[in-house]
Amino acid sequence: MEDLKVHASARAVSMVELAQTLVNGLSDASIYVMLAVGLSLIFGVMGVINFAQGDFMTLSAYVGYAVVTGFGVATGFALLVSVPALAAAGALFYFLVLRPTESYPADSRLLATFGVALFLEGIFQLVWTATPLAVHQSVGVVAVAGVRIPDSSMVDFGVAAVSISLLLLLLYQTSLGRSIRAASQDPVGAELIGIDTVRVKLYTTVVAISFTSIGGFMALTSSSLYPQLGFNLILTGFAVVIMGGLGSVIGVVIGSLLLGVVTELMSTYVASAYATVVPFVVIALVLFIRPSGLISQSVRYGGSDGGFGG
Amino acid sequence: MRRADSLLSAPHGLSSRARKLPLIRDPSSLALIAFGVLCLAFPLLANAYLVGVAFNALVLIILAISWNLIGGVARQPSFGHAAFFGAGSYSAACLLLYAHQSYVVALIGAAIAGGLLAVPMSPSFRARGVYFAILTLALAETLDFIATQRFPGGVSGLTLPVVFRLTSDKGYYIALIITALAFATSALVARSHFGLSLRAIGADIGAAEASGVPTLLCRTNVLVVSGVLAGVAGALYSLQQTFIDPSIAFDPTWSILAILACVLGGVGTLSGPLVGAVAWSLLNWCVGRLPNPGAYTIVIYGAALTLLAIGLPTGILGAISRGLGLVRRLCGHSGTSQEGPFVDASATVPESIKEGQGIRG
Repeated sequence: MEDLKVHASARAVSMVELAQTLVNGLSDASIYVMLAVGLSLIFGVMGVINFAQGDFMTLSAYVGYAVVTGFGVATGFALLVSVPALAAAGALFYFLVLRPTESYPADSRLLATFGVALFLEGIFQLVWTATPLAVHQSVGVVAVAGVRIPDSSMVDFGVAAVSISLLLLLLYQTSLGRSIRAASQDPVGAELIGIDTVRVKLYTTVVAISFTSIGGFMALTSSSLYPQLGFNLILTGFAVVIMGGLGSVIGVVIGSLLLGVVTELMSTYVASAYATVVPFVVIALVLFIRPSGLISQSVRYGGSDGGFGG
Repeated sequence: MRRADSLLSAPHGLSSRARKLPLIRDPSSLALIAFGVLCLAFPLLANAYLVGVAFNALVLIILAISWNLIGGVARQPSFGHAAFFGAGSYSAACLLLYAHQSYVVALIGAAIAGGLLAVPMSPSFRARGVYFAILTLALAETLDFIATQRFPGGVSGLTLPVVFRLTSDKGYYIALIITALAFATSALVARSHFGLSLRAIGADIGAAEASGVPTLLCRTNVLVVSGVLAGVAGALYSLQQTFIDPSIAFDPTWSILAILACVLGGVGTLSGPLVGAVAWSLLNWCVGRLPNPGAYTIVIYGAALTLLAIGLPTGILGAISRGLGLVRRLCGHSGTSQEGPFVDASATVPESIKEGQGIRG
């Protein structure tokens, strides 16, 4: 009898542990999805792998930090400033980097975005130094049946869900979205039927960077802030996008959820060191089995073949 | 093939002597010879610190030549060259530390390790284009992780006794010899049938496959050659530093640097990696010499890279070739040209550059 009780409670603990792991995984996934959806959009429409995507996320987090600490407002206000600021940065990025390199070979464009990534990282170090920063906030935790869910996780998850829904609405219910999908399926064809591809590319960049900036807000509320924060996540972003197939929003969502959960499972049940390698193993496995991503062509909004030559 | 081309396009007015010595009328060969002489004499002209800087530049040249074969000529953009570099570093260090071999054996071992690593890396060719890039990056990162867990020394790394250190001048000349060998390899590949197949793959892999090029075999072979070179580069680096750990040896920055050097010089050209690696090393050195270099060095790197990528899309060599073409056309219009009627502007562009443009399509 005593034995049975111990056994039951051990099982309850392990169920709680599993649930806790899943919650943590979903929380990570909300940051991944905001980063990866930006990567995916820019690749889908312009064929550019944007190495600076993660650093735009960091920039957003630092802008948010400056707003919160400078004006002493609640963390939520960071979003109100950092998203418009990053949208402007995205437009600047398009006109200064992506547009002038339009006709260049893909590796030159990659180099240009890599340069932007380095540049931004340097700026972060100059302005905010390399010391990790964090906003001071009262961390609320909701406990559901023994599973601790931090407020920030719930906020992140909710914000991610709302953002992705908005993105899907934008892509599938507006004429801009239709243009974006057209441009990503066939840039020349889109231009031939009268779509202003310059405008579409500009808006795509702005939307992609804005979404990533929301990811920056999440990073601000749930972890500490350092110059390499975003760049360190870029491989995870690639892993997500690979799993989802470059150019698919739903694929990116599924990829983020899978990666977030698998990483946390690994860290809880195997060893936390092994969690870092999960994204790479995932990439290797997926691409060995399906060399052009997990999600089939028909689901993708863009028909780009993933070719490096843009 | 290329020799025939260059004779065909030889200007009419040249003496037979010049025709027998194609090196003399080719400005890029002259520049190469001048560069070689400068490299040979460098330790006589510079202090030990600068020789160390030059050593690192040579390592970068080897790494860039290695990347250029796979990423530039065959246009398979590997982002995992750090894996070869790290494998080379570690095998050299282990041969010295545990097998007590000489540095020559260590270098050969590193070459073999780099070449062998190409075999487990080669399934990456299933993925194409950007997927290939990301897959190789992931494999390299996985190897980095394995190194922290299983390689001798673990996270804390391996320290080589100073006995093994390549002293500045000796090390420099060893690196110079290997650089020359790497360049010769690259030139041989460019002139061979194998190189032609690689260029066909780079131009259009589907068309190459359809016209009977064994694309998988060719890509695997070039990855082996590339791995050998990158492995040796890693070994040289570890021999000079006398300390390696996984985060240094498998740093993805090595992959990035290799790509940067090639893109900077001119992707897919013979001397592009050389020019790019030297240019990058010079930039690096200049930035390092600025008063109190701190965080803003990385800002300068970033800005410089972006501006170069935007301003010089075909690399430094591409810009030079455009400049030469422009000069030639201007000369042609003013009637001072001594050329025959069928020699157009592009014929005077160094062959290596023309090739690059051909590859780029």
